[in-house]
Amino acid sequence: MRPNVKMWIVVLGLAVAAAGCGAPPKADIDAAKAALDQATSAGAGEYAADSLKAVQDAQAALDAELKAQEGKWFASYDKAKELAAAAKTAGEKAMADAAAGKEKAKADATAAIEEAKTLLTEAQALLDKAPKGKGTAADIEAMKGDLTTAGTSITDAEAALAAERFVDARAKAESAKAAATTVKTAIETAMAAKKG
Amino acid sequence: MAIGVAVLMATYGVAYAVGLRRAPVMQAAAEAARAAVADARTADAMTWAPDRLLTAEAALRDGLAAQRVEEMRLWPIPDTQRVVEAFSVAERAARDALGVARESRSSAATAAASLIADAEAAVAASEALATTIHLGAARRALLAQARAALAESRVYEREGDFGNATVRARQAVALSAQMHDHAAAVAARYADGETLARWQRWKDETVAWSRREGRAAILVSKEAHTLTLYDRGKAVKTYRIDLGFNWIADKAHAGDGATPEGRYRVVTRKSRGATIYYKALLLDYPNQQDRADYARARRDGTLPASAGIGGLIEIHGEGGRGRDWTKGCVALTNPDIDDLFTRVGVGTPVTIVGNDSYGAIAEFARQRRTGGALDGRQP
Repeated sequence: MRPNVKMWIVVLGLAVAAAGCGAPPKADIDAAKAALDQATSAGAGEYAADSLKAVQDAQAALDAELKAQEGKWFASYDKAKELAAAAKTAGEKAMADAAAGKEKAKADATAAIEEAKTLLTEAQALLDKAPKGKGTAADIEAMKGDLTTAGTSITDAEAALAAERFVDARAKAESAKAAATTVKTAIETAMAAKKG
Repeated sequence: MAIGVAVLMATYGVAYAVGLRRAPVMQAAAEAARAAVADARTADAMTWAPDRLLTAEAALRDGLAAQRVEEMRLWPIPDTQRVVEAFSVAERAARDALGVARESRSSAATAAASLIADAEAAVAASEALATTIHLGAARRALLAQARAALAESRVYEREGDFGNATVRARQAVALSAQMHDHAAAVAARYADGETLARWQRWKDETVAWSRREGRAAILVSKEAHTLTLYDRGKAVKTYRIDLGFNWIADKAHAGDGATPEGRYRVVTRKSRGATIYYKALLLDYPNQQDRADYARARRDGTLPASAGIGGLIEIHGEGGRGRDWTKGCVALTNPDIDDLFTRVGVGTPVTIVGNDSYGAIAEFARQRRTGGALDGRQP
């Protein structure tokens, strides 16, 4: 009987050891979750949608693995560690992609604002040169008003850019561009007609 | 003993082989569910059907967990049915999310496109109004703001931001409506019975005078943009004219750009060299009635102290520009003023009316007054 008791003690000890080794890798799981949260906060949903999807998929695989291991008597978290590392890497990539996407959106909005400013300056210069007389005074006043509104749109676009609302900034800049272009075209047409 | 072990190993081997055949079935179900969730995400279900997408994602996680449980079982034949069913739930949920997302997005896109079309029509109508009815700086700013709101709504629509596209399109419509209200107020005189009757009376008296005296008389109809020459009571020629940039109003003071309404006479003929507008017939504006109206406006405080009554209203050349550009004069093409010069002289009556019948401007004002929709109808 004595050897059997020893054998059971050994078996029990091994089981306890095995159970001890089978704790979920909390640090890895937390790091993966933090990477997902950071990517989301960095605007991955808006600026790096595909990368965010990859993170979500990796996170889903990790969640599934953890859930599968939960019900096991002798859980093994080796694969969970691998999946957590993959999710963390995907999260970091999404964060970097979001930062790049945001920079691009900012650059696009900035470029649109600069274009609008250039067009406005050109339209104002043309308006200053436009012939003033009995037949043009009212038109010139109207166009001045239109350019004032375009200038306000540019100011609004710059405020939106500073607040990192890049689509808003681009929308305002595009409207200013349209207004300035309309005035520019009208003056150029009138000048061409006068020359002709 | 050995036979027993051999039987056990053979049984396990057969079971393992069966398990291997079943694994691809689970994998295929997993891929189908994953693909469905990916489709839903691509359709931006997180925006348009977030609850449904979250349900699908949770179901996919359950399916993946079930698959892993089966993969890790000691007995190598997995419960394929359970796993496939779990993935089927996820796939159905994802397809549901996709359908709802597409429908919601499509509805929002349709609604935004419809509102943008309304805004385009409203702004186009306002543009047309602006060329017909002189706008002060404040109203002109309304038009510019309406154009800006429309341009912004188009950008938001392109970006798929239908919420902001709708908001900006509505703003464009509202700003245009304010402009139309202003235009309708300006146009209201053209639908006023008393005013129409007065214009008709002026016209009738002018024609009657021409018939009675056997001489020429001129009738200017501002809305029709015509100058009609009467001789012995009969209309003998009609000319197209350009008017003051604020022609729709009756002249109240210098610089308002309005063409005066009333009964005048030619007081001076200006040949070439005497005017910068080729040739001109100077009228006796302001007449007695104009002076009385001006004095009353000054007394009532509706005119600023610095506003003069104005003068130098002429029928002159250099017209034919297809737009109303003068400060209140009536402009004809040079050949037309040449022709008119041969037919009229000093003393010729010139009657200027807004319109001599119930016209499009009157109809516009009436429709607006009775709450007619903003449908792009123009005076």
